[in-house]
Amino acid sequence: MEKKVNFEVIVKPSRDQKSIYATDAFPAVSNLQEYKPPMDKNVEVGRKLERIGITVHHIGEYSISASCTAKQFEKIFHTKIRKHKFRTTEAIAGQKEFVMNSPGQEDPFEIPTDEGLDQLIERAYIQHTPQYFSTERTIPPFWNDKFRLRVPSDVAQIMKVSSLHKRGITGDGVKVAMPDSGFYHHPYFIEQGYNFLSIAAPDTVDHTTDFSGHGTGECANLFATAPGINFIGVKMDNPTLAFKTAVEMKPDVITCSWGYSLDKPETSMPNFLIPLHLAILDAVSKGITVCFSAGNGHFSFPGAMPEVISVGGVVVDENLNYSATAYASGFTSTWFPGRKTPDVCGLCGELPTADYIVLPVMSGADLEKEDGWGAFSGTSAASPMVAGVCALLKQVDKNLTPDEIKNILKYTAKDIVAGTNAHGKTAAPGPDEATGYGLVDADRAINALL
Amino acid sequence: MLGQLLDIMEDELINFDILFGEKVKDETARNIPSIDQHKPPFEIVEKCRRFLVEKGITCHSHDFGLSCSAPKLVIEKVFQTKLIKNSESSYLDYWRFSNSPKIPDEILQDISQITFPPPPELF
Repeated sequence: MEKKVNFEVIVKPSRDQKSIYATDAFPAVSNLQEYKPPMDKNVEVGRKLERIGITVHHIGEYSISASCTAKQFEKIFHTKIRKHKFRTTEAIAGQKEFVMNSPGQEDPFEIPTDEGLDQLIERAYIQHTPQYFSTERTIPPFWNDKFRLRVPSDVAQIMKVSSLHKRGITGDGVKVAMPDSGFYHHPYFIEQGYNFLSIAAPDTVDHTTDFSGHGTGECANLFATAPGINFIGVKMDNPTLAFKTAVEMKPDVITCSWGYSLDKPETSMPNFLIPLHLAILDAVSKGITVCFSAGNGHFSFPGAMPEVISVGGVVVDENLNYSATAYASGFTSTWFPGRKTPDVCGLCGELPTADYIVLPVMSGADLEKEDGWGAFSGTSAASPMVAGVCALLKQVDKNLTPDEIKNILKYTAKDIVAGTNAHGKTAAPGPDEATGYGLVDADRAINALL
Repeated sequence: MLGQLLDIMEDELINFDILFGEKVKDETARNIPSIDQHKPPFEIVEKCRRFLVEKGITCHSHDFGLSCSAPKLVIEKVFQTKLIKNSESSYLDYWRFSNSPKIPDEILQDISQITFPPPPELF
């Protein structure tokens, strides 16, 4: 589809009028009439513009609103449209770059002579999409259309971490890394006083920009369960390189809310995943606890690796009914015989949209709903919540191995006995493929250690 | 010459990973007890890294190989074959060589596989 440009055409003033572009022009309410061309002249110009192929949307008293394709504009006005990028000030939250498509200063620009338009038109200017000066709230908004959880309080309460935080078990001194789409330094994180560091993997730039909103939002789930951690967000392009960059930061825990839906019956691992497979094995062999989302109906790798904590989803409604969610994965791996996912669960929304947890995002991000906040929560939300509980365990006992942490989480989890997951597996008493061992219960997990 | 340089500058950067040594096809054979067997000698990784950097490829070395990125034209020139992008939605076919790549003689004995990681799905 061809790129369209919108532009405003200003008609030349009559002899007895002033040009709005004269050096001494100073339009005000009191003298506006002096700059107004005769309306019939504007109509004439509008009709002539249409005759040369331009779409006229509105003929106003002071200018004509029109549009055409960029190529047409270049041909008609004998010019060249270029992309100009400007950095905006930090005060304009979230919008770091402003893009304009227009002729540059050095480019030619001529009013067309067709239909005698050069005698009638004074100027024509491309109009750009303006910047949106939205502001980001420091606390999550209430949206009344449906029941949703808010960070940090609701998530903390259901994951049973609130009492632990009061006892000083917050993940203090534990390093957690998270490769994802980017990590915008949202005012919410600053207001909460979190230890929030973000870096760029070597193949990315501008780690604080997150046009998706995914990384920024999901890490709020991690802080909800472990507000005292030292967080390192790694902006990702090549996921293998981002994961290895996370490992090089020597974290205690890594959480990943992404994967590939490829571990399906009668398949084997494609070659491109072998480097990532090795990198994850290497991380676990170094004593790093690795959590991966089990997927949202996906047959997810690396979420199916036996060495990681595979995190599925449980939904809790306003009446505190706990059930498996049809949004979350739970399946038997083909690639790793005998492996069933998930191991345990965090909180996750329900079909169709899973817009269940209100999370901070960069203004203008894809996931934004309003004022720098969005509502989303697949197993992407569940994995960082569980990773936060892993951090609490590491704070209490630094020597715990990844296997020990996984076992503690499994055997202390709240068994879920209702609901069906995305793969049609029904939750029942005891471990099952709908929710694994159930929803992580941080309080019981920590008490198992003390 | 200048035109070709401009083409390279405007070209999309493509990520790829290089593994060394014997290819292990069975994923269950790659596990924590065997992880050290998959680590190639540092000298080999470093030799290949230097060679590829000289050819204009950005390389990040790690325990198991190299994570690289370069403009499409550079990769095609080094490995003497075309790169094909089938579909952005199907990540198995995101980028691939149109024919078997010709790995330069200097590193031919060392490299076991070159893969193009597509972006994962965010859950």
